[in-house]
Amino acid sequence: MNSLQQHVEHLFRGYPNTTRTRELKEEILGNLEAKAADLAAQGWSEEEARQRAAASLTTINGLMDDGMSIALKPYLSELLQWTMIYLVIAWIISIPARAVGTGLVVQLTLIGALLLTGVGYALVRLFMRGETQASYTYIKTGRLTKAVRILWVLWALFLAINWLDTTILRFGSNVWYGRPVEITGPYQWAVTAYSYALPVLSLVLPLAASRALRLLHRHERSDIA
Amino acid sequence: MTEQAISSEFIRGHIDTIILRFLSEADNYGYEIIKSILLASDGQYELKEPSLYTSLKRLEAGGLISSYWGDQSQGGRRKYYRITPAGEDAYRKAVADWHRARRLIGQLIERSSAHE
Repeated sequence: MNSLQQHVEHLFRGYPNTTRTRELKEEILGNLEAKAADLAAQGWSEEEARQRAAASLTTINGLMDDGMSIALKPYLSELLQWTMIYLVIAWIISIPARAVGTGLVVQLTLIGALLLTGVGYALVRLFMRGETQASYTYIKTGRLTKAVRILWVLWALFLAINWLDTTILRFGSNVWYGRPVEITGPYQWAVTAYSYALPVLSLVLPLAASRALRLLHRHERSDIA
Repeated sequence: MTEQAISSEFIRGHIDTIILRFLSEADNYGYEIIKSILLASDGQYELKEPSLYTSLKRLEAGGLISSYWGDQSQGGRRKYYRITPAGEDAYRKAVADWHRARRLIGQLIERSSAHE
């Protein structure tokens, strides 16, 4: 095995051995050998020619079907910014709910999540400072898409169960024992309305996940310098 | 931004068309495509390998080119690409689009000397 073959083997390490991978491997090797031969013909030594050829392709990220190579730092920064925006909006919406018992809990939770996201953002900016665009991460988009879809389903389920629970707690006895529904004033109305509305704010979670998916394409590695 | 980077930035969106052009002249394999482009640009533009493979994959998936293996006596096999009739159509359309875009962009970014 010569150094170019070793280089190509190294490039493909960790990838499943499919027909597509094998063909790509063979194609890449054929091209690199042609390049090395060409460089050698231009006067480079055999070994230098091979090294220069190998240097022209140092990763096959982005060439495989199931994923893409992402510039991690700008990607994470933007994703965390979006998450904070969602959380702030949710927090603003929940401000009027403060008067109601659970409203305060929701507000505190949102503030906590906001702080946590903020800390995460600061960490990304701080600790990845040295890493400019040179740092890429390979992300399997197929899996991520599936995960996001599952998250949406779970969220819908959570909301449905939550609403059902609220309905049974509040109106169960009205239905089963035929008691009249008692909403005595505007405060009672607010409590009832908020007990339905507040769980919807958890929408920030699947929204952020969907944003994570959409942002991928904006930070996909472009190999043209 | 260096001069090299600027031209790469401009060319990026047209790599598929450029590859179609060279394949419309003759079937070819990866490294020779890169070399043809380098020579045709008088050494000013070198298509990077990752972009080449990405573009070839996209073109083949779109049915604009097809591939076959060459028979080498030595070393790794070469995968040759050939433009399909659909690829020819796409190429002609891309050239027409390019002419229109070039006129329009020139019209928009160049000051007419009459107004200066």
